[in-house]
Amino acid sequence: MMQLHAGSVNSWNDCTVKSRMLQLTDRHINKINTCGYTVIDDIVPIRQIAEAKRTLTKIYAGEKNLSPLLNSKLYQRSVCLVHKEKVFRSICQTPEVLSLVSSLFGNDFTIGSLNALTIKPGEEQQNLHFDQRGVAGALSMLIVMFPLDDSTFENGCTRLIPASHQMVHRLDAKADSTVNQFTHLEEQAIHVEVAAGSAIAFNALLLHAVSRNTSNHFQDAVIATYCRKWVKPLWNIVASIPGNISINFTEEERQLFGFYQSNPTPYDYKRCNIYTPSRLRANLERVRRKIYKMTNSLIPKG
Amino acid sequence: MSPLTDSKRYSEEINTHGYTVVPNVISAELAVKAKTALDRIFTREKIIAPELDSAMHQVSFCIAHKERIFRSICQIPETLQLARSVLGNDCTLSVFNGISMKPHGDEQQLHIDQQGPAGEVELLNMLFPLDDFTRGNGCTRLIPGSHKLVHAVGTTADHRSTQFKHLEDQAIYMEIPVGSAIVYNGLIVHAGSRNRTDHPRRALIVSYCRQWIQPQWDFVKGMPRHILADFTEEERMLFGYYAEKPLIYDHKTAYVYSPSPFRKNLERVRRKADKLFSLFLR
Repeated sequence: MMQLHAGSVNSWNDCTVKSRMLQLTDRHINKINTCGYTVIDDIVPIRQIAEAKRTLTKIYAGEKNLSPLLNSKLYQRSVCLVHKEKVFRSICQTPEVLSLVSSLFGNDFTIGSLNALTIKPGEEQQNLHFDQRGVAGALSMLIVMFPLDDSTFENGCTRLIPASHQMVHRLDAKADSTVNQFTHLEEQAIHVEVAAGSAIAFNALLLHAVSRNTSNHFQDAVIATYCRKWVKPLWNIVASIPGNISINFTEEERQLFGFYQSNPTPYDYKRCNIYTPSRLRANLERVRRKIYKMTNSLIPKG
Repeated sequence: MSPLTDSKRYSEEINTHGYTVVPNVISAELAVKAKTALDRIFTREKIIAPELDSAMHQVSFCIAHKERIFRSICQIPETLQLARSVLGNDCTLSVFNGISMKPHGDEQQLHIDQQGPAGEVELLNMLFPLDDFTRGNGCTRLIPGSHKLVHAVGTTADHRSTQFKHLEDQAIYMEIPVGSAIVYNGLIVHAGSRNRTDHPRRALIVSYCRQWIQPQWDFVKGMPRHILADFTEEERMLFGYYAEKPLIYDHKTAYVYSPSPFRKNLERVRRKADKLFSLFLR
């Protein structure tokens, strides 16, 4: 595995690493724009992969009975990994990926989901689907899959239709893998085999799916979505994280997970004014208004 | 020309120039009623929301529920059909404001209403004049084709910033009569001009956005129940009542919840009942 940065954020200061990252980014941006996807090799260090696998096994064991909906005979999922273990936060902040996403979206992007998916032996082939609707060819959400096991044809690697992000879908096309709506494109699918430690990044409009796992082994992966700041994220990560955990987040992480993202503003129908969802601000505003009214009545008119 | 052909032409103009003008969408009678209703709102809100009344303009937000007449304006067939043909059938309302540019008020700076990928239409604004728009009373000015500009990092949707001052000489002034509508991409550089007359210039601003874009206003949250109950299914859809919202994860039960507290509580009760039953059955 390439010793590019060994997962250290300090490596950002290294000029050679930076220039290498820029080259990587340019190449990958072109590939994402034309084909809708790219593979970034050797970016997550082995020790981080091993730690993530170990942690994921523990999480799965804990959630096995707790959330039966996320655990079937053929797959197990764990959603919203952000607060579960720090290692997952490190994986989605891999410098190469952040560099790629910021080149595509600018610096104010957010992470809209961070989930794990394990495909069990015998997994049926998933239907081709896209993850989010959007204007054909435009890029507003990027999905990055970090395999924790080598992802091969046998164990059900991702298959995708290159350049399908530029297709104009029918109006009733849904971002739903349970609907069999793109079968006619199956023959154009390519299977993307990537080694553990690498990542597949693709436009959320690209048609893709998990393939059949014909091996006897599990295939673990961490999947993160990165989105432009004006796009609705898949998850409200801020509302999902327990307060005591989010205190430990760095400023960079808070920005990344959408703590400072502007949500649609609710309207105060009684007072005809704007209130952000913060109660403190709402109450402060009420006090301010009362003072305004009181002082206003004291000032002589005319 | 048929309405469908018109809609196609308007869509093309929006794609190429970033804006279009749709004539005769509001009858004179409706415009007068809307203007009277807006004046009533402004008078009332001058007292309860004085901060929305500046030297430049008076604004009233989320006017849909304030007077019933406004709900019909965001559903005018020609403009709604245009919005849906550009943004998709599941587009929702992002903004619905009333504005009055003050006589001899300040000028707005050129600005954009939303950030987005250059050339794409993700937010479509519609401006319905309630007074004839003239150069004298400070009609909207805009820079044709500016929706295709790639803005510098840090460009904000702020009408007080002077970031587009260098484009002023390319601006065209949209002088249009009451009853017509200016429809423009949220990325187009535009502004309200200085009103040099002695009369206010009133207008309604309606923005529609694509289903996957964060709307500016959350119309449903906090809306009084008796008003919401009066909304038709179509109106509920348009105001984002059924729009997909980011999911919330319940870390205690490792379960995915939609943001509805009712569903969340129901699920908790169901889980507790399941546990109780399994104790008895053991």
